[in-house]
Amino acid sequence: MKPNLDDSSENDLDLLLFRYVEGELDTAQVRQVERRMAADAALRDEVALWKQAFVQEDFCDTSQLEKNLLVGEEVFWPRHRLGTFLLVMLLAASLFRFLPTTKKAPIRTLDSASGLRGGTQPVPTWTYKASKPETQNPVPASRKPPQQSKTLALPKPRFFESGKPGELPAESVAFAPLEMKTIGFQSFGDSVEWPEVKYELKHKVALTKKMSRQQRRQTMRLKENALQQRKANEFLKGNTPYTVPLNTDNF
Amino acid sequence: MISTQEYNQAVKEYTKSIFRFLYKSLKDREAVNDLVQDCYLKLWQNRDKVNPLRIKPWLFSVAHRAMLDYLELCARKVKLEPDVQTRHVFQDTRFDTQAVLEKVLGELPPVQKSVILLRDLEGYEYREIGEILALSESQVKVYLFRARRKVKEYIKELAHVI
Repeated sequence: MKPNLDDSSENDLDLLLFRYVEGELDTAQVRQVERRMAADAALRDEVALWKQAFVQEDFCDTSQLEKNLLVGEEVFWPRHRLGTFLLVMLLAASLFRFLPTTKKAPIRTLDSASGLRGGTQPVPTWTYKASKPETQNPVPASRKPPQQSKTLALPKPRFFESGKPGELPAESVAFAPLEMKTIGFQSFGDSVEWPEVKYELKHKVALTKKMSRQQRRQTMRLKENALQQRKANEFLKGNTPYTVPLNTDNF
Repeated sequence: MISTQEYNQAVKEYTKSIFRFLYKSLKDREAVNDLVQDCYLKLWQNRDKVNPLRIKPWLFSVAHRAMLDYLELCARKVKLEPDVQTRHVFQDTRFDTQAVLEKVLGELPPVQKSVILLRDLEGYEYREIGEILALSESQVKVYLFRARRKVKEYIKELAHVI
């Protein structure tokens, strides 16, 4: 049962004084209480006791506790998740521009006039250029060979082994558009000499030797097999391999 | 929704008040430290639901509930060592009112204790205290009246003894 503050039983004075110290009385009632206090010393003592019943705050050090509770400040982070996501995507996209790209081997054409362009070591590259197969129109014999160009003697390409000089083999037709241009050729007498030709490859294809992992493994295996075979052959010939003599004193 | 900045601001402003409120009731610094940390942990976990303008009363209501749970837990525990009862000896005619107040507060029921602490230490109005402790305004007035009267009677008896 809730108590009623307006109940006029024994608690009238206590209630009045309680409301006086709490500041709930209006101006007229406050003046009335103060007039009674001035006249009654016991009432003054009672009011003093009521005022002593107030709790006063004590000093307490909570600095360490506050330090433990603080959360790290966000330097810059937008509130909206979508904005945060877009910002992260933009940063990632801008970073991709500065990522190093895989270096392709430079394609250099061997220029007879200017020599090698760029680089320090000559990298023989094939520049292969062919527009249409010239199998139907071989180079006429009466045509005088032009001045020999000072080019490097390039190794014979594999796919031209079966072909005649100046003649595009059948396989090369697949590499369209390709155009073969023979710069110079020597006379074909009894000895067939491969002319120094300059091929220009339109496709920028890097001819650096890159072996795949499988090829590397195969090569290693072949080498090991060859080494073992060589050892076996030596053994069969009577050349026994040297073995460390067993020291029986240790046993 | 409370941002990190608002949370940190609440930590700086209200930690002392919460600590004082709980310490007056429990008198155990370690336990009070834990309870204060629990209060702020709950604030962080519920930062989406708490109104930034009502952080202080929210913290006090959580602290009050935590205090009640702690007292309930302590009541279930049985101390292995017997309580050492000390005699109240007043050698001086004067006595420290605050020390007496602390003793009396320990004897008050938890709700009355919370009401008197929120009123005197934090200066809350009856309506605000009612919101924190889930009481009506008239109930807060009644509890406060009873608490003050008890303290006043205790001090009066002590003064008569001396």
